Amino acid sequence: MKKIQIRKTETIRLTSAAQPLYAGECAV
Amino acid sequence: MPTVDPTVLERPVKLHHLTFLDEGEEMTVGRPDIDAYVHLPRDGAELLKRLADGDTPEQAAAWYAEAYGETVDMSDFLETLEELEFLADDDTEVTTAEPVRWQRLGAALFSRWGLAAVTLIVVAAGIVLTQRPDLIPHYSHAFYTPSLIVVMLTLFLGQFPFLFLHEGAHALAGRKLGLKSRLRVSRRFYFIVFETSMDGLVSVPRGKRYVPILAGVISDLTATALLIIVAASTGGLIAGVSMALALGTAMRILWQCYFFLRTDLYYLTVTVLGCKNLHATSRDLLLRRLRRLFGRPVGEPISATETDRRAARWYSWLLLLGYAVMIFSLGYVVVPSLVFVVGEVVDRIIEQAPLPLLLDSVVVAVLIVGQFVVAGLLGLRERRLNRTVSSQPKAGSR
Repeated sequence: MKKIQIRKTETIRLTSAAQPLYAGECAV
Repeated sequence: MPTVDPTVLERPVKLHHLTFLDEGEEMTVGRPDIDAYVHLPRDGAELLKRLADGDTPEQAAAWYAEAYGETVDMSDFLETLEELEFLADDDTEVTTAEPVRWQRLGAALFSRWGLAAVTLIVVAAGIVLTQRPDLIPHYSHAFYTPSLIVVMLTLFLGQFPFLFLHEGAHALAGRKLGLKSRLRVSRRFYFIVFETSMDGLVSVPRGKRYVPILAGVISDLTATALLIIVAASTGGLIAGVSMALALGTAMRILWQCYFFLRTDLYYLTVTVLGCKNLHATSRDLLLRRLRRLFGRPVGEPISATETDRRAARWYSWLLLLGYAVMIFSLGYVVVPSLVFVVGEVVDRIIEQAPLPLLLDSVVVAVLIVGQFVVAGLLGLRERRLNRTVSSQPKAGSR
């Protein structure tokens, strides 16, 4: 008995990152 | 075990409106109204088409046996269609996708004329930079004022309009093709990200996917170019703020190179290569290699196309390298930064520093520590959602 193989598609998430702020940027 | 009522096989099934995209050895089939898509082998897609055209499951199975010389497990196939929500109840209306909003605006912005205007702006900025190389984005542009708290607030608050512009560009380029999309805040590793979900992109021919994928970077490039032109044609504070914002936008373009975090560049790469799910295939390969290395039992590889398997052989090493670099940067930059900032604030409280200096430190600390706290909270939310989803019965790789 042949089973039909089904695969879900990859989720597509198009992103842009909020800029990490570091202590390097900072004694006024 | 199949539990389908045998009489079901004798009457036609009602299907929601489905789209079929021929991709050679496989077909991508889906329900655009709920953005649910699957890859089916060609014989499975043809079988589904027979059902959609009104064949009873029995008739479709008889057709399959004649066409392919094999008996298909029809009950199992129907169960899967049920799990995928492709089957409609007899008494509910078959739903079709509603037309998306902003389609005309998307079509205008991403028309040939729109893209020509963008090219013109970027070329103009390039010409400006040949005359004014001091305007090539550089870290020193962030420090346009001696007040570092203002620098941090500029970089922090100034990024949001451009983040929305980036995601809006993805959405509008998708709308041009009639694709739905959804904006949400998420995280990649310790980065907070704005993301546009556009699962329907798999339902359009490969050549049409490039503009929606690249639309975000196109908007970033255009914004950077415009900010450089503004800085060149003004001066003083306006030029200073413009260049600080241009630097932030240029950094976000560079961030797209972290493709192992599934950035836009990752989706561009898999589209060029013709892969279907390179990330999952590579992760699976990597995990099985690790299990073998530690003498643990190695399971079956996940279902994947030959193209994915071939690419995963080299991509899995890049994935490992990417994760290693990120973990290194976590220990080398992020954690020391957090410790430094918290230490500074505590020191100033103990030393009873003047109020402005103390306030300054507190704002900086909230900005720096806050971003990682938010990323952590988003990570926890993701885990909770995943746990909820995995505790429910699911359709998927069969």
